[in-house]
Amino acid sequence: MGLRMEQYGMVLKEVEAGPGGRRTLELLFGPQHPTSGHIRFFVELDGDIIVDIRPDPGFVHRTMEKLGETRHFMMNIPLFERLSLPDAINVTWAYSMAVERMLGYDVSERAEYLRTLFGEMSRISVHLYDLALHAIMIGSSTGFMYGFGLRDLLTNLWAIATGARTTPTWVLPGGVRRAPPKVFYERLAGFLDFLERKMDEFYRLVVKNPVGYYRLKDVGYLSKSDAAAYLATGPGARGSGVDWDARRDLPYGMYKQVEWEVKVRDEGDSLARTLVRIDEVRESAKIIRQLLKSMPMDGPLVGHNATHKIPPKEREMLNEIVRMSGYYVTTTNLAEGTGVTEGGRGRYFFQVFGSGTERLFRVRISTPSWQNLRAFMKATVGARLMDLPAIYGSFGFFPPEADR
Amino acid sequence: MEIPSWLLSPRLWDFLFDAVVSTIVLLTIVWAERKIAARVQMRVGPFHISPRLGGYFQLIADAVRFVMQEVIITVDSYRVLFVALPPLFVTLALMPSFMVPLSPYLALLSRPSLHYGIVMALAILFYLFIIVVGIGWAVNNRFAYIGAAREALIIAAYEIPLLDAFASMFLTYKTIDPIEIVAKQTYIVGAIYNPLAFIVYIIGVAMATSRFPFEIADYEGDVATGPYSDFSSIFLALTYAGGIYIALFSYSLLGALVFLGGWAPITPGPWPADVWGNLAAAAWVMIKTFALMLFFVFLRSVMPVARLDHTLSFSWRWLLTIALAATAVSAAEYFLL
Repeated sequence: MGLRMEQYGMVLKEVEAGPGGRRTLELLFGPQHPTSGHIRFFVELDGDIIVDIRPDPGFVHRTMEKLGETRHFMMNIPLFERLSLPDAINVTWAYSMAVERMLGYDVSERAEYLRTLFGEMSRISVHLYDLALHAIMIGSSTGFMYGFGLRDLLTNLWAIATGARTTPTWVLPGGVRRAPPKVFYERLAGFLDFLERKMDEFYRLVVKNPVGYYRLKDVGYLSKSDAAAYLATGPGARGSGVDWDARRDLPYGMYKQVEWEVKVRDEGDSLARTLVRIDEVRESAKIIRQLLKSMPMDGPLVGHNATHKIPPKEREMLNEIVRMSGYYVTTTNLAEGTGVTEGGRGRYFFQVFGSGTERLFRVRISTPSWQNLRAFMKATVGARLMDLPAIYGSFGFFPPEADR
Repeated sequence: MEIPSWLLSPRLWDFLFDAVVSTIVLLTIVWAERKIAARVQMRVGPFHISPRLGGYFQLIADAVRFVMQEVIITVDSYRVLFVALPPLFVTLALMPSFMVPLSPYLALLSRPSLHYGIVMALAILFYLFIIVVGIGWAVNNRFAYIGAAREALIIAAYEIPLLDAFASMFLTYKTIDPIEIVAKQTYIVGAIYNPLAFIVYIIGVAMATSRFPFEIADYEGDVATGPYSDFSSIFLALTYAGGIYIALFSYSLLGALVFLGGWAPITPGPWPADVWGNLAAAAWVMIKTFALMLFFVFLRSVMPVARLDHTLSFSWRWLLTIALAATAVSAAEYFLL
């Protein structure tokens, strides 16, 4: 599948140009532009129509993969969660899964439950973040405040459980770092009720609002075959009718134990992608409620194999906390491991190669925003300039994630 | 001691009232806009400047900051217009409010010219947004160009329906004299005489003053404050941050006179004899103006920004049709009433 990104833009331009040619305007969109989100686009405009768009990512950070080879593999966890701070759990989960497979660790049942629960919270966090930014991109500051206001409650819950609002560094190879206190579970249920009520309000205020509806309806169309061909993931693909979700198709965590469904919409426009996200927030709330019912409240936080690496004195407190110091002596195996999780924006993929030392020989990262970038460009060509933020936001594009 | 006659001049009092009250109205409306939006959005809004008054003086603090900021004139800009247009903008925005009377006897203009007050005010207001296009040209930046082009498109889209809405009302009242217009709305106000014209007026003014959902020319999302994108300091305060609100004030004042009955239930006596009655009438007009402005700024809390092409097609297809229907209604009223 030859992906020549310039092609379709140029073809459209030739078709439109005709004899003598037509003047187009090149607009540098970003990286400081309010809605560029720290990526630069070279947008070529014919009047108000975008005929070509070339992204220029790399303004936030780069060389995440290279940095991952320069330090102890445990220190990569706080590094890699910087890829996507709103989705920190799902990123570090994918990395931890890769390391687990490399080291041959198992995961305790309690940790699997906790990871799934926090993974869903992470998904809610990312969807709230993206919906909020999408709302401000189409001009609704109320939607922006709703999203971030709700996410603030969620980050407070994270702070209770992990000690940090945005950088939990909570998933470890083999399990999780800390057990959430009782108050966390009590507040989580209340938060979910409030969240669902407010999501309805958000839907009415931003999406169902006639102005907001027509900002999103039939904008940035991405067909099902294009979504598949350009390897779109997450809501970017499911909004176009591609029924794929790593949680169901490459099962991990506790997703097989709970009842839920993959939300898919066939329209393929910005509205469908937005609605998929709103539906997924509700679905995540459903999953968390089920997990809360069946969750074991006691048990070790890391799996049996990992416990061997932890000094005996520290092993006693494994039901409450895992001291990172226990892992510092650990070296990697001469093996390979891969981990795939479904984050809020799509599929995270980590592949690690052990070197025999405490550092990894190679880390390979694939992030959803980078993949969605191609689909985003495909969806944008032919749209109006005013739709650019609407389409951009509908994919939930997150530049730090693409710059890896 | 006798009061000198110039101190009791209605022109002086009209000017004073207009200048002072419009300042207070503007301060309040910007504060109210931010407070209402904050209320809707689960937050506090302006607070730290004068916390006991709920941050009422935040706007003054902002103004001080704007004034003390460095004036940056970009290299590529056309310097003369870049400097000259913002003051012209704010002057033209405020001028219409001096063209219309605030009570039967409180007016800056006297009879023969006052007769054309509303028409003059409209003429000046329609010049106003040509200046925005000029600003976009003078800034000479791609985003400003696009913003100016959008402003030009929107001007063409709202001017005819808006003018038509006012013309319909003139037809209903059979006069263009503001004092007579108010005199004809003693019991039934213009918005009830011709609701279609009122709807067109509301939508047209929202488009004219870049209220949501028509904040398209200076929509931050894709054109980064459009025509004003290279303005800073006092220039920004004169145009984007302040001038448009003043224009909104002028439009709302016209609306209060033509559609909401002006000082209608209050009928003050001749000026020097009934000073308080006239001032009360003027205050009543200002309250109606404030109510209209409050509606316009409330739109920010609940509306996203509409798309340019949707706005244009809506305007040419529906707004113009409603405006013509309003004219038909007025024509019927012309013969019936």
